[in-house]
Amino acid sequence: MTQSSEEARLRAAVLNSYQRRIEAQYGARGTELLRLLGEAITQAYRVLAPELLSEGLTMFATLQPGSRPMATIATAECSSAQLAGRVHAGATLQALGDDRFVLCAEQLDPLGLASGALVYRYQDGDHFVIGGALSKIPQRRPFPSWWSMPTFFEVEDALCAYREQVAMDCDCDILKDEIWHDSDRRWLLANKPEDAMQRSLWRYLRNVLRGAQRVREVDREQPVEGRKPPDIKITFSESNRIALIEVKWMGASVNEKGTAISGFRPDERSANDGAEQLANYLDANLRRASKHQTMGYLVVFDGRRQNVTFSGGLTRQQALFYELRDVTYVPDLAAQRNDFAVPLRFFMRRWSPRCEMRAQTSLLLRRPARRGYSPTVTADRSLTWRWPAIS
Amino acid sequence: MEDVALEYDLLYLCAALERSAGGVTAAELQVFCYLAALVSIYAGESGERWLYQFSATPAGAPYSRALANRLDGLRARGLILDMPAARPGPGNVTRRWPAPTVLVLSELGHEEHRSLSRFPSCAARERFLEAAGAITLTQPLASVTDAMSYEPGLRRALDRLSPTALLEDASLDRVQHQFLVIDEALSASDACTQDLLVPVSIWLSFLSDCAEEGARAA
Repeated sequence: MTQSSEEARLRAAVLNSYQRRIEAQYGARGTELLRLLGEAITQAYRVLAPELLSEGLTMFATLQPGSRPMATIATAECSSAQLAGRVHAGATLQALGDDRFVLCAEQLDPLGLASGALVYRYQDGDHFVIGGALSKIPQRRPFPSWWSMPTFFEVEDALCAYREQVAMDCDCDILKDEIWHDSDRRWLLANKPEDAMQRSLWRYLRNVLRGAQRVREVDREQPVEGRKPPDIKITFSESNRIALIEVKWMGASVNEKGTAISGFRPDERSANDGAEQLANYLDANLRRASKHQTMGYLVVFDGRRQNVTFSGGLTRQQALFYELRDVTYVPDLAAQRNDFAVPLRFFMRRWSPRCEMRAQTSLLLRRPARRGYSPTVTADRSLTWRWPAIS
Repeated sequence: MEDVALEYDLLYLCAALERSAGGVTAAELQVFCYLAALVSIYAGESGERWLYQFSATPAGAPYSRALANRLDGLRARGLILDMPAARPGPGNVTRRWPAPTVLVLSELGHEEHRSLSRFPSCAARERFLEAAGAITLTQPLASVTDAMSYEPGLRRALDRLSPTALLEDASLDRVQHQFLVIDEALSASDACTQDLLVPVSIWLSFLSDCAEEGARAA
């Protein structure tokens, strides 16, 4: 980046900064309240998933300490732990600090509150009321809110969460817009989608992985002894641990011109090849960096559809045929090696029926559990997706 | 004075990050102390006056031996405790590496922190430490440490893979230039910026966006 473009980018960052705009409007008290609200929003989102608040959430902190703008008859004071049982589709909360809130079940107008308070609003993203209007904070995709981003200390945990929260419904702009030839139905992958898949996973890991990371890098394309490099490498700070992630994909993709299905159609064999490649990286790494403890992870993005053709249609059953069909690895390197984690398959579904599945989930949860049909959490925590397919 | 400052920095940031992120690892503490040193540079202090040095080593960066030693001392005295890091549910993860731990202040640690904050030498550092810790109230800790790894000095040192002193080479000039641009742009805007949280958050979002763009272009 040249110096002038860097300067231009920095000036743009200053202009777009919501923190600056809050300070400009409310002065030092504004950034003080931003801290208070930041802590309170994080506490609230530990028990409330923002994406499930269909009517949105308004939270504010008053400019005048001790001020209570909401009528006491319709409010209750509570802690964040009590919010889970009391907030349903949406609410208005006054943040008092020290994990105390005043809760009002009704949605009050955030703009009306802003005359005496710094007001945060969640509705399809984070907003603050600045200059008399709701101002959206640039979203850090795929996370619904800056204050609800999960954090993980274990690579496996982060990968499992990515599978459920992102890959399953392609719930990130990269997977949604870049890896599909037909992003509206998701039957055919784009030509050479692997780079975008890696980038999506890399971006996710950068934002959620913490703990023992030392160099804190989740670097792409790190060479290991001249062999085809692993796709993502994670090094850990003040530690001799390294995590290598090999990214593979399966499914039908279109050719370079986008006029037909490509002859290159990775399947279970490619996933097995990936496992072998990863084992080779691990061996090479062991020779090169014998003082390091390395763990290898194979992740496979699965975009397979049964009997997919370039111009034909698919039934729901065909589109979801591979949803529950895991790859068989021969040999089973995860069982044979201590440095090889159980491979993870990220099945990417046809266009997101998340709402539909949520409806099914709530119906099932209301039923008394019966044999073979009870909504138990599976070992890999893929609660929703282990039930019998519903046609 | 150096010892007091070291202890205060560690206790202050440990307390702040416990509140916002449920605890902090030893490596993250180093990063946030480094960020506080950079904040002081933004505020016009010279890097050398930060009282302890940072370097990039093959084992990790940023790293201050003085901080690491003092942290060990605080742990030994029971002021800082190692606690198991919270995990998201039971899961089926086969743990092959030791369980991660985070650092939190003990009651004794809180008392020591309160006592030290009365020292003028510590109070003078507080606004830099506060801004560094408060950034986790506006964005998750993991994304802060990730953005920090794209700080020019650190980035350069990590690319070299050899021990390098930080905050004193040419890359500091680049950081100072970035700070200057932010400061000028803030002065020209309508914000009467006194709060260091504002420039810090702008700078970190700039670093993060640059990393994102670099990946897209790769």
